[in-house]
Amino acid sequence: MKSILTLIAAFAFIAFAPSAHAAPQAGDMAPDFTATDSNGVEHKLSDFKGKTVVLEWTNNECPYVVKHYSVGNMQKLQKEATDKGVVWLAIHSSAEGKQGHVTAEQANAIAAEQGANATAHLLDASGDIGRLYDAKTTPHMFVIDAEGKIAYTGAIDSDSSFKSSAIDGATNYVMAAVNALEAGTPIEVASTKPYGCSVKY
Amino acid sequence: MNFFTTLFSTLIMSALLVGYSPAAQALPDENEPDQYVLIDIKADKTQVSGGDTVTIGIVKNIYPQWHTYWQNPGDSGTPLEIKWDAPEGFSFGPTLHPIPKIIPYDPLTNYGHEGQTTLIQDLTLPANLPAGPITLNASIDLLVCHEICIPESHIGTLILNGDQAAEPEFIAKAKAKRPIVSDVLATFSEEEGDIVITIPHDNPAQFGDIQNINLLPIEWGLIDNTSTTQVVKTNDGLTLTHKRGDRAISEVPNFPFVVAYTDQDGKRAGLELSVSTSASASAAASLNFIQALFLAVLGGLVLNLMPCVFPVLSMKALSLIQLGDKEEKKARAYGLSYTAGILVSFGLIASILVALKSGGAQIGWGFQLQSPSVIIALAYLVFIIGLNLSGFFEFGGRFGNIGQKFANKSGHGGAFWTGVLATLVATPCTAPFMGGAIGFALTQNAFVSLLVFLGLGFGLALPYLLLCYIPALRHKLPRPGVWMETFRQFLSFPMFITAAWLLWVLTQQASENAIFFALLGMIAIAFGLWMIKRTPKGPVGSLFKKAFLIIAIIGALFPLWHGGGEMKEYHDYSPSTLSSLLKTKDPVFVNMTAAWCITCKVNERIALRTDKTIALFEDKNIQYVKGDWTNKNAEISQYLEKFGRNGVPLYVFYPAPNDQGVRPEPILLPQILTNQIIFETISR
Repeated sequence: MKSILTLIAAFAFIAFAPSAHAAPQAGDMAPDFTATDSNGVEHKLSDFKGKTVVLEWTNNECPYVVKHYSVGNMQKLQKEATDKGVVWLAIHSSAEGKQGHVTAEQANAIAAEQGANATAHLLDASGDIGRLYDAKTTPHMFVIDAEGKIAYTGAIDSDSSFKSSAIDGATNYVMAAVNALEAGTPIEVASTKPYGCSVKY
Repeated sequence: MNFFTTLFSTLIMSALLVGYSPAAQALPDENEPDQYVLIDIKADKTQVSGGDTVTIGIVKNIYPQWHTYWQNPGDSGTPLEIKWDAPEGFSFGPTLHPIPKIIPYDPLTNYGHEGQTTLIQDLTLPANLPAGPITLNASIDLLVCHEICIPESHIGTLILNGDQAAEPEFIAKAKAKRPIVSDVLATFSEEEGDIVITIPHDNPAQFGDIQNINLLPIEWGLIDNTSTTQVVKTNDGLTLTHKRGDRAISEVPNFPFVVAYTDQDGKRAGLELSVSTSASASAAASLNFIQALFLAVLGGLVLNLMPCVFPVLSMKALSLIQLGDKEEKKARAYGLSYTAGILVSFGLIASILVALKSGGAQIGWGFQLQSPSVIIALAYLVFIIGLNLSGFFEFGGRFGNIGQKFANKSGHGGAFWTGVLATLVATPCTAPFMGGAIGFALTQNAFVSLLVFLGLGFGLALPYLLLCYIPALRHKLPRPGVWMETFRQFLSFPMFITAAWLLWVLTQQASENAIFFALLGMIAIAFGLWMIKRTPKGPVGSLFKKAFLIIAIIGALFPLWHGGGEMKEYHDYSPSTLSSLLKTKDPVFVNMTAAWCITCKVNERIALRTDKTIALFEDKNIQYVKGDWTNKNAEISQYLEKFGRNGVPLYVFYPAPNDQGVRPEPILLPQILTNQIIFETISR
């Protein structure tokens, strides 16, 4: 009997053992951060509790980012999401002197030029937020649910081509996650390999 | 979007497209090339006939310091994509990459190539070739990076049976840069966030002088690319330990990888092999699976002895005694029906669990016991079985009695439903016993989970099944006699104990009046069963019987209905608590109550603890103060007196202060509350 109890305890342990990875994954609590946006406004992630939050790592010179902005796809997704009450944070983690680094003014100018519909453009030249999330590529996308849990992490869609023509045939994982959260249905794909340029830390 | 905004954004898009074309990319180098990669297509033979296999080399000449990507690009980047435009019947194999270089880009890491790099691809020709030169065009998309990344599209051309020269030596050299494909049986395990792979050597010298050993998975996300591979050379071979990546190992049952190293001549070389993560998880995890299955069957067996299950099954078993050896076939059929009943029930519960689990719900076995209604229903069920066993009443008609003679049973259906019933009464006992093993099962894939559950069910069914199948066992059972009735009555007590235990569980989740109502419900059941047995005379009597039965049914069902949740938080009443709350800007609601006050409890059930009121309180930020007058409490008595009362319930609402910071007079609510009254008072 004792050995059975030991086994049961072992199974219980297996069942509840915490995962050992540092990088935040789908299902984990999204690490909290505070960042200043291109208008000088401070945003704290945990202040958005109760709302779905999308994090978009961006670098306006990266061809994969251009893939989505040049045909208005990213702008369209941002609009669709923010219209649903989703908070969309575009994060610029390129270090000073690296491709995609922007000042507040540049970020605003680019956003205006793109016709971007993100809630805010966060400046992260130190790369702190990027490292906190282990953001690997531009675009690397995270969807965070109302409880602050990571609902989706990875690529923006299923086609890693750099050609804008590939967007139409691809499955958009971000909108799928946002819609599933809205509908309260399970998220089918919670994690994919992010594609794109490396984040220029 | 109207026409002008469409036009406007199209213009911007085109401007952006032009702005982002590679040529316009601002690079410091004055002599920047138009393209950073030059593509050349070579082949080991170019004069071919039908059925030949040609080895093609896709040569990338990469601009100095720039790189392209391996098949697993690492943390970012993308491998080359090639599409051949060829006549039908031309069959192209996979593109094979040379051993990659690790390209760090702090904090990220990529796998790629620099300088001249050749990918290898086999082309098998159809039996009949068109006459004359055959031109094959490949459209190639690739990404080339150095600090920044530039996508490039190329067209490569191979001409067969024309004037393109064969370059077998070049192709042979390129092939030599490929890892050696090995079919050696490596072992795989996961330890404390690391992947551990052991590769046995072919001969003791094989790994002797090699250095700079790296584990390079061909699939993405399995290792932390930035960490270094820890290598231990043992007498048996090479053990590689590398920090795990984010991707679940279960997504890659067959883990293909390259072990790259520098050999004794200083040349970069590698082995390409794959290891099954599931089969060799085998060594550790499949043992766990067998243990879990064993444990589940064992647990199922133990369940037979549980106070909730034992009475049902022992009566079932005793009914078998009366079966002669001639009825062997019948006994077996009943055993199978019973087992089927159990397995179907367990399968059903397991499927629901697995479905909920994969839907992301944080639940475990016994989740059904988290609902007070289910607890009460189960308590009723075991109580009814207890009453039946004790002889208080007999099931009539379609329901077979639990202790009834085997011969009288109503076919296989009866045995099947006994199995279902056994599962049902077993559930409360399953949770505390099997939680751990089932917890394990639920972390596994759906198939394993289901198997463990079915194992549990099989264990539960096993004793009865054996009795049905082995007449010798049945002969071991005591002879039938009057003692059976006594035994049956005795067995009612474990059922009552189970019911008592379930009510105790209920105390952990519901209020004290829920227990009270559940007990009343049980009395209503007993009363109803007692009424059924009476056959009153005349229409008046029958009307009475019907009326009482309806009351009994309502009385029994009432506790199953649950009026919402609990106020998120409340303050225990004390004069100082109240006065400090009144100094804030929040409205305050005071509820003076007592455990013995039925009106108070009814009000709480139908008006205060309803979802509607709870939401309203949260929305208006109303501070909820509760005073419990169950025991004598002078402070509460004084408060009651202030409002001219000498008893509970008392409900007082203090609205939020007005603009001048003055709080209006408190509002006294009636002693009978409804959602509507509360809503109107608060919104006033």
